[in-house]
Amino acid sequence: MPESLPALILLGLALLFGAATIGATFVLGPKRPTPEKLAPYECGIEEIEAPRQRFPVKYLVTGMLFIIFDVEAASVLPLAILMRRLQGLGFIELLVFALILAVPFIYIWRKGAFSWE
Amino acid sequence: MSDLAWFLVGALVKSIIAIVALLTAFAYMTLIERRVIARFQRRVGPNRAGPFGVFQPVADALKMAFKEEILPTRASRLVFLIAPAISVVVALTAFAVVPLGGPTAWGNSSIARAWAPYVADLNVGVLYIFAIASLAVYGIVLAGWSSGNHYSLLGALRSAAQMVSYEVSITLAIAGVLMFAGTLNMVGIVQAQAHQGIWFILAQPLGFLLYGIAAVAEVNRAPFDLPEAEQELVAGYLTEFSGLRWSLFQMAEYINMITASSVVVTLFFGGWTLGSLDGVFGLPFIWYFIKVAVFLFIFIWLRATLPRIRYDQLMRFGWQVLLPLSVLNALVTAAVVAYGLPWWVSGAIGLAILLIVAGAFYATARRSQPKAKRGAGQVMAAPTSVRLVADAPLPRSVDESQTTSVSASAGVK
Amino acid sequence: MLFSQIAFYVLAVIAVASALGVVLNRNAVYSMLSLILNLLSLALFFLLLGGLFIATIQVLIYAGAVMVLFLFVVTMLTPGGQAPQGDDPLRWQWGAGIGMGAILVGALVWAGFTGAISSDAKAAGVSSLTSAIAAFGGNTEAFGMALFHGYSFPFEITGLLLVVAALGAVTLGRRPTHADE
Repeated sequence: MPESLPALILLGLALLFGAATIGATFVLGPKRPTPEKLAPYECGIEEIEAPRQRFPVKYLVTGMLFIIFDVEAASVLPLAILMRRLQGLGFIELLVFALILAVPFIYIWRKGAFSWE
Repeated sequence: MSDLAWFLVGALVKSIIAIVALLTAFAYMTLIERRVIARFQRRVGPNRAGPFGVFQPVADALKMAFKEEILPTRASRLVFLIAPAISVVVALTAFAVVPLGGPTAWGNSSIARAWAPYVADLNVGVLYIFAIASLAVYGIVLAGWSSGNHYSLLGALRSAAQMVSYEVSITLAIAGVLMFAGTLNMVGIVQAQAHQGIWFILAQPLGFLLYGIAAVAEVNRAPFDLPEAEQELVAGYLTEFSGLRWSLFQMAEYINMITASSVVVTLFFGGWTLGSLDGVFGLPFIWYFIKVAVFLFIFIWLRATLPRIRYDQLMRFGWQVLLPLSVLNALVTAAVVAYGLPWWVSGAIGLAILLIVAGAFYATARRSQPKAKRGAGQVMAAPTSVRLVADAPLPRSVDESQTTSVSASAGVK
Repeated sequence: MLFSQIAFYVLAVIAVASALGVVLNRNAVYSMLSLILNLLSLALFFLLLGGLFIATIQVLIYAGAVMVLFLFVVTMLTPGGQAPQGDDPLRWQWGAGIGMGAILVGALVWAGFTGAISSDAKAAGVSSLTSAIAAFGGNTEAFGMALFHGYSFPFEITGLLLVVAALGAVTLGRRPTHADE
């Protein structure tokens, strides 16, 4: 715990700074709102419809694939720092893990999940 | 006072110094960037406020603070307010483990060690930076979502997908360095380089390049600044923000740039170490700052030089090129480290892979070029605007075809 | 010791309050925000127990995982994240949730009173953790040695789990083909 306390102190101070700045935005500066000013920015034209329709599912798929490979990357890091100690065993472990994950990677690639229109 | 009390006081003071220093560095980075980009574009840049424009950031800050803050009616109030704060808090916090100097920079006593030139010395080091930085996407996404604007939400989704796509490569790209260093600790990585007598860029040229590209994409800088592609999305997630709230996002971007440069210097370029000159007071700091400044300059250089990448190209590049290459790099390095081969083996293999990939890129680029441009004998048609920026004054008279060829050659120069 | 006890109770309040926020918010995006807060407070719990590496991984992985929930909201529900108005169609979930919560609390109380969570067991756990960290030179190293030296086969099997997840993601995001219609 003590070794991580300084990072938490920095976090606390950064939170203070962020809160103070956001608070300052209410105090400083003029306040002269008009309905046009507060309307969504649309390059000067009238807004046709509110953003209500759903977005392409592609974003969700990208997010899910990210999680999968992020878990892979996060488990590779502790293996990486032990590579010198584990020697051959470490290399084989990494190789097998990479090969296992290469299978869905190639499948996803062939399914076109990485190509955006 | 006890050692623990000194430790905490040191941490508090160092945190305040870190925040003030980062904010100052941000302010002056904006000035330096504008001046340098102006040079690239044959302009002068802001030079009116004080000598060389040194008071420009002050003027900008005052102007920003006294701008009207707009809170759109459609906005989701609470989230709209905390989104910029999240961005800047995350950016500041990630800097905690960056070491500006060695643990014994001020001497060897326990009190001197409490003042070591970094805020925290964590065992998880570089992983801490990645963990905190992975929260940065929330600032952007919540900003876009809470604005209640098409452009904002679309811009936010794009940048979320982009940051997420490059985050995997950035983590895997440094795996090679970690194998050589044998630790995640930032100070430990620098000391490992000093101990082994090399900068890890020599053993990890491919890892360095992959990390560099992914880092530029992570901090949303040109040529990966798609969320701000103004031709398509106005200003992306920033569209509805103004005044200080807008500048908090800018602040976060520049601080992330500084952190990314510091990580490059720490992981690949030996950090503060100077060999036998380590003991000279202040010199390691200067050496460290010079190295970070070089990478900050490269950030600006990239922005001035490269056009923005199209969104589909960006996503394909991240998943189909960067990710497989970083896995390959990790595997090659793992073999070298696990079987005790010398460091230059992974360096040489990395360079070879780099050359092959560069060759493949060059070949595809040539193939996809239109036929007409490839012929050597043909006159390249240059737009007339080329003449406006050419150095040499053009010959006055002559007929149409000659003018075209002269302006083309001047443009190429 | 006092400091960590105060920290524990503060964190416990935050964790429970944010967990309630996840369930009770009618707007899916506000639920997501509560979930982030909840997971961050869990990371701080790990930190209190000396698990720096696990705390970091908790932030790293769950930051991305909750992001996916947000993407789910804007791609599958309405981008605003509002719940549909009117009666709750899943009223039975309340009863089931309360029942399972009661079982969980009962089990914890039972464990507390019968001594399954004894201070001896806790002390033994702490001492073995401390010795492992000392033996391998750090939190991450101790974790890595346990995983990659002792349990390398389960680790590789986890890879297979990720394969299944990847296939599921692609299937979910697939455009309907003519054969489906």
